[in-house]
Amino acid sequence: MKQSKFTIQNAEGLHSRPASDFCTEATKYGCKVTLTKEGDDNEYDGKSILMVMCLGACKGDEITIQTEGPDEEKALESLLNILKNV
Amino acid sequence: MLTERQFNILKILHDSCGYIPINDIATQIHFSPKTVRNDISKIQEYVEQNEFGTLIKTPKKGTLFQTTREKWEKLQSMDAASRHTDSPSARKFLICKYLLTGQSTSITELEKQMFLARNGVEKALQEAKKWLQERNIRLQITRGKGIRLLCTEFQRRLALFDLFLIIQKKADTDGKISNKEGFTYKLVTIEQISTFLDGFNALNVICALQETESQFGIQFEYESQKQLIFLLSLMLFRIKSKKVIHKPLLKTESKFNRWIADDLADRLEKRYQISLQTEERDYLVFCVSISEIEEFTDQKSRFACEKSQLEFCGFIAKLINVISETLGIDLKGDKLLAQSLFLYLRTAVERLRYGIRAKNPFLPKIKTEYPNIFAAAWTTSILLENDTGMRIGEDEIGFVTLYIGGAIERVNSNVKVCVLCNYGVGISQFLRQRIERSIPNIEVVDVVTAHDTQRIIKSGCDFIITTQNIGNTFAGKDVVIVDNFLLPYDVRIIKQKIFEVCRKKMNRISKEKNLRRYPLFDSKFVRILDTVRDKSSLLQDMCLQLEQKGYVAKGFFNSVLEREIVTSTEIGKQVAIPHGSTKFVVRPIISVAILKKPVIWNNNEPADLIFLLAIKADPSLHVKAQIMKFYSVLGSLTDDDAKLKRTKSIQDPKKFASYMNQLTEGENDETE
Repeated sequence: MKQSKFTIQNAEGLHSRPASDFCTEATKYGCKVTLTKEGDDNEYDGKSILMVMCLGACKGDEITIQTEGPDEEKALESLLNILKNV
Repeated sequence: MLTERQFNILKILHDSCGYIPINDIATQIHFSPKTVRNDISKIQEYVEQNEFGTLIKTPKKGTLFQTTREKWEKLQSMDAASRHTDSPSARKFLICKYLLTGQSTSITELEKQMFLARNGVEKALQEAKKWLQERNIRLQITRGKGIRLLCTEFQRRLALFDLFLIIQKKADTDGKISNKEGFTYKLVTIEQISTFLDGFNALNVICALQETESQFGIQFEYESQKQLIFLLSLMLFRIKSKKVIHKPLLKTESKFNRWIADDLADRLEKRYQISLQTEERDYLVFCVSISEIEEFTDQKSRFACEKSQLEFCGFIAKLINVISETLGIDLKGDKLLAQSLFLYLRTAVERLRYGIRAKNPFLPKIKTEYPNIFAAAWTTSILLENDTGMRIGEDEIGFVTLYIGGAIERVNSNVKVCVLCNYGVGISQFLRQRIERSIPNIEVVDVVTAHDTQRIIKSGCDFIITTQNIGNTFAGKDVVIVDNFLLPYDVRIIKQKIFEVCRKKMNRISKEKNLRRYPLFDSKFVRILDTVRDKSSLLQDMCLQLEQKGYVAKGFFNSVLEREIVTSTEIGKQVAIPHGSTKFVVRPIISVAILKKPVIWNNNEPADLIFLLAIKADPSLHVKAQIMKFYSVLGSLTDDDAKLKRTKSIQDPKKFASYMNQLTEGENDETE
């Protein structure tokens, strides 16, 4: 299992287009992708657009991305990359 | 027309592959050979006059009925039709059907097809005219020229769809088809469609649809699937008689629906050897978009479906967020809830766009069983109108309530406990097993001893189950004391505790931090009345006052009335929440009427506490939190009879306004 924290930078937050981009990337990998947010007990499926939107991460929110499975390392790296660029 | 017995004889004749003696028929139907002989003469006359085939009587061999499959099917559907013409409403629907399918185009033709006198036809025709007018279809009757329908092909198909649903529902409740033994769902659908569409065989449609479903890894919901099969059959049936759609239809935003529709179109083209024009392909998109997908067997398809409606996904996320806050239960992490609400509402919205309403048969039950969730679910309506301009009614809100109710059950089923035991691991593990086996929706998160106070606090458990007498609370948690061997009595106590925990979770009202207060209630707008004339005059008075004081713009009253036509706003326990379109709201306010004598609200439902909502989520006023709070207060009112009675008994407008403001501002948290 790999995990990394990330602070949302773009004004829009992790909504609509960014959420879709994130999930599109996540579904390319076989590993499980889970998102959590500071102050929220829920775990959100990183491959579901609906769930990523339910997470409702706004600008400044710190989220944790967790990957688990054979290609976890590569997945985490590329997902962080996506988050930086959305 | 044949009597039922005569028709049965004809059926026996048809089913026997050859000559059949009169005596054999007589034994089969338990009538004398003489009766059968007389009947056969009448049958012969009827069959030959209407050109349904010929009856050959040969001495010693018996009788033979010669017909073709087409003629036989026609005879059957005609017989079924005429048999259903006893009640006035059945006559009305039959006329609508004949006119809509173009089977009849004049009163004389209707007389013939329905075996009715002119007088009877004309009477039923007036009723049919009304029914069609409700669907924006005008009837033009010209002497000597017959009857013409003024409508587009699409309107015509929508009306036929409506008609099919009515007739099918009637047949289902009469138990005519569904109870037949050995009938699979597929055969029933085929038979129903064949009867309605003059012998149309839907088998190829069903096959095409199944192929598309497996191609995309989707599964349509049972009713939706049946309706979809009908709508597709209807298209093919109409195309066969060269009736195609010319006017372009509304466009859908979902590309996913278009993919499915195009796939279906290709398969139907191949199977029926036709070519579908752009307008007919658009019609297919319409058919698909009003059909609810129940399940995705292919997760890639689910993803594509969500991706094609990003904005709507955002709406669902927002909705769940608001409902969670209103109810004070965090449902955001419930994937099943998000997915089912998404699938349900995306279809419901499309249906409403075309004016197709689906009645919710569980509505009265939902209102009484889940009053507080139902009140919270009303936020769906307001959010949806804000975001998309679409309105949903109480039928849809009822379904949303069920989805939320299901999610809450799931939250509740996750009650967490710690088992505290000082006798060592053996007995505590034994206790744990017994608890988990006897109470399925409980999760034992930890097994501890009395020394592990910190572990108990950290475990996040809802309460402690113990065999020790450690008092009513321990480490800040409630305690349930049980026997070492967990007796049936203990199980009951634990279940009672679980129920309490759940109720607490449901009644918890979220605390808002430091929000500037915006009072939603004002004593000016609280009226306590002995009686009122009727609902609409009361609403008019209330709206007019708001308009005069500058809270709403002109047009608000009409939008309130429109809303009432779309759906009843009585939410149970005689509480009603009429509301108008947000676009006429200038400053958010809630106007109240408390009636000493209830007024009839809708369908004989009385109401005596009326909250006229003129609200919009204006970010500059920080009013959103109060509005949400209002909904949760509303939920607690309809949930708690004593509280409701207390509220209604406040006889002073000033006191009432400040009481409600206190509740919605959260100063006076009345949590249990």
